[in-house]
Amino acid sequence: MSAALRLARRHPDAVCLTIVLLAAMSFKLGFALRIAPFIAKDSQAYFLPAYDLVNSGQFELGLRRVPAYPLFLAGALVLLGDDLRGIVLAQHLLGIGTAGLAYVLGRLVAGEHATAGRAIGLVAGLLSAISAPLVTYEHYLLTEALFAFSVTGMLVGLVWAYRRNGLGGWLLAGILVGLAVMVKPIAQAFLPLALVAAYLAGASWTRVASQLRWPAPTRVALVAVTMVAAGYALAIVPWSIRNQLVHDLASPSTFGRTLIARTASYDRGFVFVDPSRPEHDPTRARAAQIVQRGADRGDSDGTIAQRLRQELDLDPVEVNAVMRDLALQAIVRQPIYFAEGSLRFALRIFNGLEIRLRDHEAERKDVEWNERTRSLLAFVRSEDDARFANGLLKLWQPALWAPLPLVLFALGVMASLIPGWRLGLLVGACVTALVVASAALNGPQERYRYPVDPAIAVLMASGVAAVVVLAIQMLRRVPVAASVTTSPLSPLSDAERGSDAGAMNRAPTATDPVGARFIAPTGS
Amino acid sequence: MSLGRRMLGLIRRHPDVAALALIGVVAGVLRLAFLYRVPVILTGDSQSHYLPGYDLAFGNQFEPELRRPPGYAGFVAGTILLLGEELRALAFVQHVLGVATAMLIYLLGLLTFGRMAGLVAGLLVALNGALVLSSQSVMTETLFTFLLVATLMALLLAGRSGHWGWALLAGIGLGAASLTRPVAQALVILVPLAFLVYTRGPWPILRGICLVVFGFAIVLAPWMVRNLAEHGTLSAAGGLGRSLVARTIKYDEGYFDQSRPAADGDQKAEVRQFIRGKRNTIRNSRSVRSTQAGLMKEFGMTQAESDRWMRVVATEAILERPAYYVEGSLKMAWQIVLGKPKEDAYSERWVMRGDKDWVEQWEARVDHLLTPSTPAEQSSVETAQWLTEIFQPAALGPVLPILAGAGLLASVLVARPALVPALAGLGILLASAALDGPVPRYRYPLDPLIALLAAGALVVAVSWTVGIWRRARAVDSKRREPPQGSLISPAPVTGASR
Repeated sequence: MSAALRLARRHPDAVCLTIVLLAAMSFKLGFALRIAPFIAKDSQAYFLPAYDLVNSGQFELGLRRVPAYPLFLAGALVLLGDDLRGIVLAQHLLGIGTAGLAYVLGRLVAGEHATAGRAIGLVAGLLSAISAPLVTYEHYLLTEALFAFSVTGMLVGLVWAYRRNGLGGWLLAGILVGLAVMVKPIAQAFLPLALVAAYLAGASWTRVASQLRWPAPTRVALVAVTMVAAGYALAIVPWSIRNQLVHDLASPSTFGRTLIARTASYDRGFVFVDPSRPEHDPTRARAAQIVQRGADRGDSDGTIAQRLRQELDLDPVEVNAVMRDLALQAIVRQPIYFAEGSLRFALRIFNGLEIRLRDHEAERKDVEWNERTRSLLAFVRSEDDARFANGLLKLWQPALWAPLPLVLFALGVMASLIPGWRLGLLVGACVTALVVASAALNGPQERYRYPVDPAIAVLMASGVAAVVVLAIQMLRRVPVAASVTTSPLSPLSDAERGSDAGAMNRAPTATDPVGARFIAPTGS
Repeated sequence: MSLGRRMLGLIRRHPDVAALALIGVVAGVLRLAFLYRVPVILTGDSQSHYLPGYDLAFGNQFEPELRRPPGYAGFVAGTILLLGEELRALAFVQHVLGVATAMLIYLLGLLTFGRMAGLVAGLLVALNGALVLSSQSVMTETLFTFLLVATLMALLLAGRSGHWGWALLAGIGLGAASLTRPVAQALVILVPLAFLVYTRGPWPILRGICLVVFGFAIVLAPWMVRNLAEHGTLSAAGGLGRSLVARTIKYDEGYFDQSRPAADGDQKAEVRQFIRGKRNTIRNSRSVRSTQAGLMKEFGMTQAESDRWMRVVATEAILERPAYYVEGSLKMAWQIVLGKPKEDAYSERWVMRGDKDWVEQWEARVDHLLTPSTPAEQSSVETAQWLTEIFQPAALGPVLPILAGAGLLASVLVARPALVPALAGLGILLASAALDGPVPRYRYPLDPLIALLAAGALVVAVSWTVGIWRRARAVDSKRREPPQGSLISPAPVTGASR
């Protein structure tokens, strides 16, 4: 036993990671093997291309879909056989990996303070391990599980690249951003943040006034930015070329339909036909009337798109372009309303919705499943198992605690202002970007938040950790330590500037009491 | 530094972690590919193993048959509580145990023949189709294999480190293995050897043995006491009589030939005559269950009494021809290690599933667990068959058993700690053959140990060959060296002179 304790003391990160992975494994597998896979309306749009790819070698994907998830499904079908339970099992295994990545993210975000980093990582990892939204959407044939894994992996990549500030790291970070886009196009929102992070990591902080500095460009910063862009291009260009060849549209995806969903299906306040500004193009005028009619009736974006295609005899690319233009036109007409509505939706997404097993099981009823794969849906339900699984979902549901998660998230973002913890700002910016972009471009679908739940958990934990550290410091009346900034002009600490690659392995020292180095003001 | 170099550096720094990861990935991927392509395999004995566990999990009356110890039932109950009642959840956990067994064999190899032998053995276990197939079955083999290998590992660590924790753990493991399959009780006699191969000090050996026996007893004793109270027999399981009858009648035709009319009141003779009268039924049916049921009914016996009388009668028959029994048992042991390729093939199981309607044989309360074949299962028979054929020990004929025998010899010479797993395997093999018969699945728990010994033999042979070759080269180069102090060195061989 003492040998095991010695081993644990020598490898505390391995021990924490093992705890997180074991918790995730028992929770997720306890759910996964009890309940039949969940099917949503969109499931078939991903599953059928994968099924056809495996069985007939054809891969036909809708214009607005990106290929990573169908390819993942195809891989799972090849590896595990034509059984939907096998696919969701693979997604739950991915979820276990996501919980492990949440630990790593928390560990890295807290900078060189190993104890705080481990505590943040452990809390974030455990919250991700037992999260009801995450486990529920790992059980769906939807992109969320893969997206959560790729986004958390991307954030780990970005934070790691920032700390190391090596070219390889930034290239990898760019690739990871691109791969996330290949899972869900909304991840394009992360690209500017990744570019800014790469720039800031290499920039030279120049004083422009007594208290004001700005990041002047350096060769290193520009090369880092180039590497992110190159990595991103490596990941998305092949699919964009394919889209150019197949649809004559050189982009990884389109947002026309989602914008119509946002402005016409989820929101009734936008005006698409404005008598004061009549359309000159008769097709556009007719399209605007169709969209307005759909908005008035509360039709789904799919129904509106179908009407446009049928009544105006347009192909999918044209339909998408018309929808995009009409939606943007409507938004431009009411920008304040759009911003206000988007913020309201973002708040709704962040607070989430209570997850109940029966709602998700019932969703299958609305799905018209293709005949050739219908036999895959035959499952037996056990009442005992369903009861137990429903109980598991009550362990950690952020929505039931609203608005506490939002408050703690905000606290975490504020804690990220502390030197040494500033990489939390990058994580917070990515979370905010995804939630706001989802709200602005698509609508108030609660599931859009779930992929960043591990990142939210990291910031919630770091917010609490910062409060604890401050409290301990106040109790102990620790004298303010000297600043740890490496340059008198830089507002960043060693770790943030990438000069401390070994911080992950460094144990706290006797001369470095809890939080002392990180609570200290900078630039003294 | 390139990523490849960095990876190589990492592997060099942590070779054991890399080897374990490789074995884990190979074993995991193969088992994942199998899990949903194949229905959970049920045999005639599956229900008697599963049902007590199901009842335990749902708070029903826990009444396993006397011959069934509670280890597997407890495992089933734990799986149901943790992952639900679907049979595939049980198969999933068994596959996880299969992966763990492959990784443990690597560690056992590390402790005995060295890293390379561990890696080869671990990969052989990871790819073993028979083990993969047994993990998909509702049978005790996978759990028993894992417990057996883990116990041997703990036993060797106890002997090597002298730490009380490992010794206690080894005892608990041995107790758990015995509660899964009673044949593991035979391994108690090997406990002193695990300490003797590392030390000659009487105190560490005595202390270690006491701790192992203590651990063994605290696991086994409660169930034995329960059996005493319930069935009047102080044993972990009461199926020896039944298996000895199977051994002497079902798998051997050299006993119970002569009819011996029983005198009035001579119950032993009456029982013998009864069993003899049923010998054709026993040979033609799947098990001795109906004969035991008949015995209980005819003579008004309890389960324990009927088993005791069967044991007495079979032992008497064996003692009449001891040499024949030994010879027969050795032949059966050889049959077990050789295996039957047909028995280990998935296609056979699939056909069997189609032929027999297991649903009718299972009790109503677990009826819902038997589901019809899924489309994936129906369309994946060939793929699943291919997956089990990647490595099938039985397909290699006597190669692996012979290599394992060589490994046993090598362990005597160069790797004494390997004697513990080697003799453990041998003990279980002989006990299975002598007490039950040549049932092919009895080889599965031995497969990891056979793989370990075979890999050990190969590694020892290769290292000896390399050593001999190096010595020969060294001698040769010494001969070619000019004598010290010689003024004339040999002329360099030029292209022209050649």
